[in-house]
Amino acid sequence: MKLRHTVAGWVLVAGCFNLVAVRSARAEDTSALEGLLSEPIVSSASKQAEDASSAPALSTSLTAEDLRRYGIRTLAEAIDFLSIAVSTSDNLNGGEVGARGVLLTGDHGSHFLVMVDGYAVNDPLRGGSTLGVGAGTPIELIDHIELIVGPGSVLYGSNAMFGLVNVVTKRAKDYDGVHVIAESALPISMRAAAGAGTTFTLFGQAGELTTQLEYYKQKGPDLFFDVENTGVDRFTGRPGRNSRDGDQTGLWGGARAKNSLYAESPSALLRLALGNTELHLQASYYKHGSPTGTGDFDDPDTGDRETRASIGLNHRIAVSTLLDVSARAYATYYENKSAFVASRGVLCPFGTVTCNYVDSGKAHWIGLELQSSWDWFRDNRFVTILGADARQRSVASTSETRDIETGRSLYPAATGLDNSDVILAAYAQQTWSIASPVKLSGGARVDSDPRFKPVVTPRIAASWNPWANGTLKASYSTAFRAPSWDETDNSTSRRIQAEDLRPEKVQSVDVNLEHHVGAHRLIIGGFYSDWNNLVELAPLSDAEVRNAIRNGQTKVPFTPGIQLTQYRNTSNVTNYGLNTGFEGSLHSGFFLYGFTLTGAIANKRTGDSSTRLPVAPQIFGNARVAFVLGDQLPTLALATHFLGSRPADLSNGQFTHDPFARSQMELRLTLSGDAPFLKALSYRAMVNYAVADRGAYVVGPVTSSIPTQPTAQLNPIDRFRTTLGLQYAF
Amino acid sequence: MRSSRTLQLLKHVVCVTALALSLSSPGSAQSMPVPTGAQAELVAKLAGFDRNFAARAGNKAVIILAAVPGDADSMSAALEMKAAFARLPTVGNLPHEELVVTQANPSSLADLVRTKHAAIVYLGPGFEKQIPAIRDALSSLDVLSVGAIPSYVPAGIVLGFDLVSGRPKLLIHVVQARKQKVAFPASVLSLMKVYP
Repeated sequence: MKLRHTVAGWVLVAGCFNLVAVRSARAEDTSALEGLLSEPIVSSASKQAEDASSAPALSTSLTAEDLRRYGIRTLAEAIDFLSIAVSTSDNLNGGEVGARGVLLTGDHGSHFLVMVDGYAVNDPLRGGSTLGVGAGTPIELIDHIELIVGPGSVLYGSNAMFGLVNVVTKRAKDYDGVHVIAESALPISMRAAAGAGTTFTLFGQAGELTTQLEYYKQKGPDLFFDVENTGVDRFTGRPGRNSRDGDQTGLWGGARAKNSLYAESPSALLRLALGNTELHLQASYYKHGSPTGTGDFDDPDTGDRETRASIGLNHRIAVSTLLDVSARAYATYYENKSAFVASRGVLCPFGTVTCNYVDSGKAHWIGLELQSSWDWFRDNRFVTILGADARQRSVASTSETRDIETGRSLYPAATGLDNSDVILAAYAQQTWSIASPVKLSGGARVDSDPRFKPVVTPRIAASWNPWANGTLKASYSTAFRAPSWDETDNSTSRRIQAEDLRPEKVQSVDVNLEHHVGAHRLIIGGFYSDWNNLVELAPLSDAEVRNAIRNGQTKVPFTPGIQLTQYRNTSNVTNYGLNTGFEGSLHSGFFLYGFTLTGAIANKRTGDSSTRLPVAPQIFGNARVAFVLGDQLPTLALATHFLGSRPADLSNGQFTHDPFARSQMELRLTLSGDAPFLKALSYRAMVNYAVADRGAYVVGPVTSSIPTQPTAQLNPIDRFRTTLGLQYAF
Repeated sequence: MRSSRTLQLLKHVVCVTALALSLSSPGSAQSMPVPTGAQAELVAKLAGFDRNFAARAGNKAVIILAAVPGDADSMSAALEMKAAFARLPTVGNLPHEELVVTQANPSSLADLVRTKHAAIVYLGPGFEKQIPAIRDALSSLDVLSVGAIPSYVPAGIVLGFDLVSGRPKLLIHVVQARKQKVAFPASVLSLMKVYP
């Protein structure tokens, strides 16, 4: 019955879409041409430029115009307000990302492969990525963002489990001259940037340069955290301390966090092209506080500092009409330092001093990827891509615990990492346009990592145009994530080293139907995914803790009640659902609209038990409308994204009542355009409002019910914010 | 030990590859931003809006696909365009025939357009330096010239393609269009980036 209603609903949506589109098509002779011009061209799904509708995965492309008109400031916002089937979740600690109802909290973004101009930015230490203000990718320099949803390791290897994001930066002709930008989310943040683009001729070859330098600083918002009572500290027999110089009250929060909500991020990006050679340079530093943890309340030293620098050089040669060869050399350096300040006895010895847990890591990789493309019949009908990637990488880390006042080491430092190795990969892909309406694609990649057995990730896909302007496509795709060195080989004061950790794997079957009429595009799709060997930080039982201490797996002296953890392959996830979206324009681009909706079920299986995956919404999407009034008049746009209610991250029986986050809807009204009397000056003004005042993360020191604090507190949300931005081009 | 040997090997591979790439002859300086399939569909659709296309083409639209001799990129583009047009039943609502030629001489190209009664001449990558001469040679002819590279249009090719924000964008040189008797209605011009 439910199924019948669902099918009827989809048929109704499709019917309405056709009615609107056909009426619009009749009114405008050029609608078919507009349709062709509105079709996204993507190149990330199969490493070949192709229409998004025939690409072998659910593919979307977010445009620079949309980023500007809908007031988008970060990659995370672009995903939330504009993309299909992907959403982010703000944990006040850099944010997290998930897709199609799966979000693996605490993964540092390592299940999404993020690339800028085709170069991976996932860090070499943890495989993590940042999509928020610390991403180091200036929003004005983005030409478009390609989002490929679904497993994508077939051409890209580890991390592409949710899919991949490829940020394509602007060519010099689209960013000509010098640009100066200032933008502020009043009164808490300021972003100042300067960029430039120019073309030139050197040695008889056409060249171009685009670059942007940016500095972002944020102080606040001063969010209010409810008071939590941590009760009597079992080590002191008195209420615990929750600040380094506070009294033994056992109280945490009950005030605005004025010191721990901050961020700072200078960054730079440069792209230089000469003929068929391209140089890509990117560097960023990202410092941010972490106000939500279990340590001291509002301590400014609890937080993370990340430094990233990467260089890439790409050269392509058309050897003949048969063969095209490209080589890509790349190197990435990454450094991370995280600090966690705690004074309670359960976290810091005896509750008499304040501990500063400092984990530091450095990593780099250097690699070379060679790729050949064989167009056997010289007509793009039967193309083979063969590639190989070799990468040398090194990681080093330290972990120590010091008295924050004296600097004295409180525990013997953990051994840390000091490893280097070489990983190799080879991939092949065959595309075959059998006849005009049918296109097949198949491929596989083998990744060899000395820590694991080789991993093979195949993909097969087919697309078919059963009627004019309609594309039906189906695919079977796989992906994996090699656990990071930090997960496999590292230990800290409170985490023992993992044993026999295996790569995470996902396989997925996707069916998508795309239909466009004029400039209106409709997507309806379904998917079924199976995730295996998911790696999680598992708490050790009391017996396991005793064994770990006895066997020398930790330097922490035995203390009753002490908590230790270990990375383990703990669970599998079954995930299935539907996604739909439609977008288009009316009256030659005067009115623009878009809407996406994803409904997905994700069940996590651990042993014999099955639970709903926390933090991940089962229903989410976005909607947007814009009125483009004309050259001299502003563009008015309203965008919203919504998340259904979802269990909080600690909702597996830790509390008497499992904490649940309410449905969230975020609205953004943006006014943008050129200044009336100064053409070179453009502006945008945004007003943002979030309906719900709490997110999906348990904050504060109480992570399970205790007599003095039986309920959980969820992270507060910055609900209302106004942002103003100016850009001057000369 | 094994790791250091592998590292050494990797360094050798990097050096050899860098050397091989630096010694290889460069292809066309600029590559096509829009795939040939999309270009062919756009040309086929646009030709129908050209008020003089039917008179120019007669019963069948002849399309010359020109490539630079010895330029693999250029030849690939011409061959791919031929295959892409072959998948389309009509171009400008007319049956069509494609002719791939390798031609670097502008006046010879103009002669070929004249003798074959070509309705469309398509220029693949690699013609950057000859575009002004080709523009002059085609100026007195009734033909729609189409360029694979965006920079061809400001230099005098009537129609071209670019990729802006991941979507195809049409470019038109209106003065040259008038000279070559190509006439699009205002509703189509409003979808294009217009070069005066």
